[in-house]
Amino acid sequence: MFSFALDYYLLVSLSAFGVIQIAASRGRLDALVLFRSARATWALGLGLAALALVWFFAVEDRNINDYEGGLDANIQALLFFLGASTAYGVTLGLSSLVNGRMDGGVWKPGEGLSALRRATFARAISRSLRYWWREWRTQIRPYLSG
Amino acid sequence: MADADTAVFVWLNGRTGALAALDGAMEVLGSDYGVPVVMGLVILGLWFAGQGADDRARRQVGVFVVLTAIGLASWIVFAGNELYFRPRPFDAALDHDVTVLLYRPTDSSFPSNSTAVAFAAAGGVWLISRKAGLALLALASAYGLARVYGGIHYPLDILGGAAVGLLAVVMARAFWGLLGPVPAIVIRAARIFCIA
Repeated sequence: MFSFALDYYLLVSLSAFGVIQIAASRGRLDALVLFRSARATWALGLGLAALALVWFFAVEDRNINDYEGGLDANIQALLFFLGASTAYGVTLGLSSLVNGRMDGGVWKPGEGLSALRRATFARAISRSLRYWWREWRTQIRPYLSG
Repeated sequence: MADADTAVFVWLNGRTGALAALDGAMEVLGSDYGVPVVMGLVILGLWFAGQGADDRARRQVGVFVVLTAIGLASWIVFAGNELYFRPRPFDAALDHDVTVLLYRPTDSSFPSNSTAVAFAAAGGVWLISRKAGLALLALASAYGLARVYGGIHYPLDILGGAAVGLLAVVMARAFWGLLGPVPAIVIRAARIFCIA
């Protein structure tokens, strides 16, 4: 089961990395994509997702019940979450390195992903955390007062 | 009704073995790891793909509905299985041989859990994006068809699963409607860490 779970985790991580590249390109989150060209980004994304699926089904028989070495639905959901989180983490790290020169210009509080249109994750998260560290009391007051 | 259900099953399952490539494709299509992964990837993509902050927030609230619908669909099937058990076609005493392409599940045949979850995901995605939703509804239908072709479900199981999945979407949408601003608050909190 461990080998099956590892294969499934790799399938999700690789294909999710590809999908995040495509989605970031569509959402114009320029600091998240690895290539300037949208066509190259789509080719990378679709290629990775397709290759991961083909690899997963080609290397072994995947037609296995969960009590015979397959994965039950809960484990699948957990591994999907872990794989997608890994893919996003790798995307953030790699894109912060590749797009290191994007400094983001004016940063607005609460922008979230939209900040990644202009700034790398490393810059956006440091600005965001610094802001919230200073301002969290004033920001949460409206939610706590009647 | 049951006779027609069995007749359609026997006809569809009787096509197996004619074309090895088609059997192979149906094995992958009906697998637990093909369509569910593709659907998960589409949902993941919708989280990131909005045009601007407002559109992205709308999609992300929609993802909450999708995930809730998936959970609800599974729970409804689970609860239903406690009340009613229908043997799988390969376990039932049919007058015809059943060719089984997929592994042999031991839970109730009706309603199809996999199809319920697939239709819950597809229906929920349809609320976010009509184009992606229609593509996933087609994929969910093909998933159900592959599981009948593969010998582990009757057509009525698939229709029952689809109904459960779509009902779960309606319930999930009402649930988040009642909770009002909660998803927006969660999304605002996630924006601090650039994950929303």
